[in-house]
Amino acid sequence: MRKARGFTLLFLSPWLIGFLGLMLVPLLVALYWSFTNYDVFQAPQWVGLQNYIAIIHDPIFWQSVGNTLYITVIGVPTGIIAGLGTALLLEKPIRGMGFYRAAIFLPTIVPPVAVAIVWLWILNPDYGLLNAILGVFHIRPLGWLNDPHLAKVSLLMMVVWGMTGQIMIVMLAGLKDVPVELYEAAMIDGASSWNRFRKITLPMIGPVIFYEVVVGVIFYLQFFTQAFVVTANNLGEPVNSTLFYALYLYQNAFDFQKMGYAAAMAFILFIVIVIVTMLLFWINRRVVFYGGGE
Amino acid sequence: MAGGLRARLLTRHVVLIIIAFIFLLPMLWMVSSSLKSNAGIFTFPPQLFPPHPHLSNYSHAVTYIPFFTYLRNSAVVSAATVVGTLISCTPAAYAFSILRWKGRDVLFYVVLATIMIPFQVVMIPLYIIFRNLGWLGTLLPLTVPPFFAMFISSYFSAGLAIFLLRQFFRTLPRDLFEAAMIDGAAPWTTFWRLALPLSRAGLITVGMFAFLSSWTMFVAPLIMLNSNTLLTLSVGLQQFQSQHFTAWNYLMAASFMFTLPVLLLFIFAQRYFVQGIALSGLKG
Repeated sequence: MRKARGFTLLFLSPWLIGFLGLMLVPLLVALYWSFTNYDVFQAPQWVGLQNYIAIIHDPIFWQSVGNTLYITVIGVPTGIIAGLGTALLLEKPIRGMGFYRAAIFLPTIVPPVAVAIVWLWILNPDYGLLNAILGVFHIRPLGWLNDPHLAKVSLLMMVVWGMTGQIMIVMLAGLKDVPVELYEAAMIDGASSWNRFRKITLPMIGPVIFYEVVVGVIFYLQFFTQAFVVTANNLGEPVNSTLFYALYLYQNAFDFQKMGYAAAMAFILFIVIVIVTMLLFWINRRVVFYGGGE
Repeated sequence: MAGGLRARLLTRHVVLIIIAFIFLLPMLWMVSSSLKSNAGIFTFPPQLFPPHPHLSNYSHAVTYIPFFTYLRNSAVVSAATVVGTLISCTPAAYAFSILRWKGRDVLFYVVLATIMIPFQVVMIPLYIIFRNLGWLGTLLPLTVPPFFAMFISSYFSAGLAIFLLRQFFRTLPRDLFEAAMIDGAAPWTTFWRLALPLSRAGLITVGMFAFLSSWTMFVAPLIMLNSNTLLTLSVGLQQFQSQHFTAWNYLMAASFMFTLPVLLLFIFAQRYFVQGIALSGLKG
């Protein structure tokens, strides 16, 4: 028995060491630093709640919060609608199904950096592909990432392009689990296809949609890479319209050396993610239907 | 009736072809741009099929930046991540599924909770720790943590790897392990001889995700690698862009070469991708 316990501990030890040394301790250290003034070069100085108070009065912080909320609120539903829509189109067997699925899934494995680079080029106001396509329809060229009103939408286009396939696969797996008898019974009762979708499909895949909402919200709250790559020379441009939370946090830590301030921002983000996730789970319990048993 | 059905099938095909084209176009555009001449890249309206493909762009791209150095760095980091993740997460997943011990389920909640911790929170302390260890001038900040089930990427985490592997182990018939134990097999033997060979698909899936996320990760190398010769490709590609000029055709060539390993992996292992994503999404 004792031997078995030692064995268990041995098996857990790499994870346990990593969890304590590279996760829990850094987490507590970051919490401590969030109450200090720390510029890397001198020892951290305790300042109490000063960082948190400064954050509340920082207009750029609130701008980054607004930008982040904007892409979260628009990006999450857009991704789910695109993923569910393509899944519904590809649910029933159709010739070339494998090709269509692969085509939509392909962008999800393209590295985010490469996604950002190719879209930066597609969205180029002077020589870009998108403005050329718009030109065919006699629409005048747009500024896309250079236009403060379109920059966030431009970023969302590339992110949704890169995410739809992954959501589609999860939706397809969910759709496969909906019992066929339900549809058959509804058809006999003469339910329209819209009603079948609303009354059967949607409730039955509720848990899958819920999962994608949680994953999507957590992703957008930490959104960084694409926004960094497209504005690498001028983070957050134009006029801070793409300065997202994680970007501003990075700037504070590694451009301005305000480690304490950045640590406080990181903790606020952490707490927000925990609260939002708990809230989503709470809504989930009240709204989403989970089939009996497994 | 039959005519209506055929018309509907046709519309579905047309819609699907348009959608597939939209999803494929950016990658086609990357390849097309990578083959254009310096003048051809700045022609408007642009051409999808350049009349004279410039394959030489690819040889220019690899000297424009130290491409092969970055390629090697990316390969080292990815190899370490795949091996490290499997070595550290597989036994943990085994302990969380097959082995029975007190506090197992509580501790597993901790594993799940770690998935939620944003990288931004531990990023600053880890940076300082590695700085104090003198690791910032090396690849160690990226290659060592995976061996301790710590994964510096927001797309795939060690917590998720343990969760996925645990799902695979749980599908194995329990009787098999109990029979082995009654026969007096040591725990190590059941793990090595029974669990591992039976969950090869799970190991491949997790290894693949580990490769994919380490090959493409951006934030950690951006912060942790402070020397120009140490960059990985995902960070190194930035050097094509400057304030005033971007060599788009070379950049597209380099970006395509950077994406190629992932594309090949996808073509040869599509099954595991789909399985892994569906599993992580549904069996929660």
